[in-house]
Amino acid sequence: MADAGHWLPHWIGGDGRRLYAALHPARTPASGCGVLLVPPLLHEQLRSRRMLTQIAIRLADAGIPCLRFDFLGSGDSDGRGDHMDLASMREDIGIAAEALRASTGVAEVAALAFRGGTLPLSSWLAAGGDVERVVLWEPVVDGAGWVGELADADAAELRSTARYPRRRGVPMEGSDRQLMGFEVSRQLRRDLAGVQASADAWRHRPPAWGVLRSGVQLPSLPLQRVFELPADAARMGDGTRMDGALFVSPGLQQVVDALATALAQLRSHPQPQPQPGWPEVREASAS
Amino acid sequence: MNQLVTFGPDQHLVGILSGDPVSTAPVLVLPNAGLIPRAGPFRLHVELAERLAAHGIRTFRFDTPGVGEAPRLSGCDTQEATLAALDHLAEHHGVDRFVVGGVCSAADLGWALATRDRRVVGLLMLDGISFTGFWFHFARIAGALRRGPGAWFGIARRLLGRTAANATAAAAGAGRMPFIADERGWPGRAEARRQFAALVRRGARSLWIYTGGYADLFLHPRQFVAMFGRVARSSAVEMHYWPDCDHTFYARQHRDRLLGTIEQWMLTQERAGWSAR
Repeated sequence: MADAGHWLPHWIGGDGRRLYAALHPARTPASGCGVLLVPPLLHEQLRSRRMLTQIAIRLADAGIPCLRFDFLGSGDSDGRGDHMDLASMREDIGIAAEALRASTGVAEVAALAFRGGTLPLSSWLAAGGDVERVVLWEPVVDGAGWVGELADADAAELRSTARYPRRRGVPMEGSDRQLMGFEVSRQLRRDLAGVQASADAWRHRPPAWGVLRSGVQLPSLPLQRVFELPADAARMGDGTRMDGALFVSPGLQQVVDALATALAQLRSHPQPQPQPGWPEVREASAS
Repeated sequence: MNQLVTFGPDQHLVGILSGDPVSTAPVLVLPNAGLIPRAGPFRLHVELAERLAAHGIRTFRFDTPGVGEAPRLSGCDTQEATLAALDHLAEHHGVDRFVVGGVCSAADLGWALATRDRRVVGLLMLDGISFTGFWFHFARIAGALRRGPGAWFGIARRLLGRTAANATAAAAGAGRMPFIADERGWPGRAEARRQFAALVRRGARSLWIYTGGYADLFLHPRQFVAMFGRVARSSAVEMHYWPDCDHTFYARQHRDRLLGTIEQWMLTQERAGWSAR
């Protein structure tokens, strides 16, 4: 592995489908719990690259080793965008979880999925994938609704006079092989549209936590604990522009620290599995 | 073949070197464009790396300090980081010639590096340095006239609004509205012209593409020659104006056109042997 200072960029997976990954070793005595960061999808992935890196650094500083990775056909991983579908993404999550366990020796893995990353993670858990905990960061729950929103936003972008001032509103020709500017397969569109993230479908039913905006409820995902995002937290889903980058704001930093503390305590204070009907514990960030 | 490379102060910067490790062709160096991480707008850099790797040509894409995964590094700005990339590739991968550039700020970096480092034998200038002038204003007025009287009121309102904003800024002590050339570190027009002439004279090749998304700075193909003079007509210089495209090549068909153009340009220069330094 190369060494980029406090974290290690490397490849995981086999020849022909190598995935870009970055391992953030714990910088204080390790807690025994590692975090697998499942990235958001499409435009949200690149826009949030810096934010996910900062979150991983922060967690590692608190003693929690982390692994970031790019799905096949996205980011710096091998493959074209149209090579990516739900099956390949499930395989990628399995490869990344195994890589985290193998490289750090952690006894427990928490999968921290951001936005659209919830959809492949949910599919992986339904197919028997196993982690000890799930943390869902502003999760996309309704795949069909989300794909519809993205298709509408993509069409709006192609007729945008701000993007194409010289076309005078004459729309660019659309394509069902593109979404938010990224190459996607018809299969991936169908796959994502077919996912409704629901804990009922998860085979091993790991306990789930959420990182949510104030007032957001997720009926299909009973959350044992919720960390509330501050008002200044960047919205990954806002806009279609690539020329913005999301950062960890001071308020968001407190949420990440609270999450790190909670994860670090897991090994010493194991918590019972959530049951249907349990109340959520909401934890607001200090502002 | 993709290889992870760490370089720069304490090896804190990360890049990906693609292509044939034994190739002797210049390496295309692609710094991040603006705040978009090294994969490029809509993975443009990844796809370009794949295309060029099929011909054995190497590319190197990386995040400059403060963008994507790269930390901010005291004493290492984007130019220093790019120079560190060139030095690392030269020392550890046997590269002695580079093509540098990309979209917007990456083009600016290419220009800045080419003017200070003779190892840079080629420039990829996508919505890069530009100065308005007669042809720009001609195109703007012609465009307004073409749109007919119905649009003139709106155009006049926007121009007046801009004038008022300038006046407000001046009254607030700003002195003058910030000019994009200042923000992007461009030299003045005369200096840019002199620098470009020197680059062409020493044999550097350059591919320039201006898009419709750059309408505040470039509106007419003749603007290019007006900016740089006769040297812009040199065989070492290739320029395209694509008014139908946007600044980050959002549409698949636009990216395909761009990728094909860059690929052909790189192959043509490679067949011609690039240049002496």
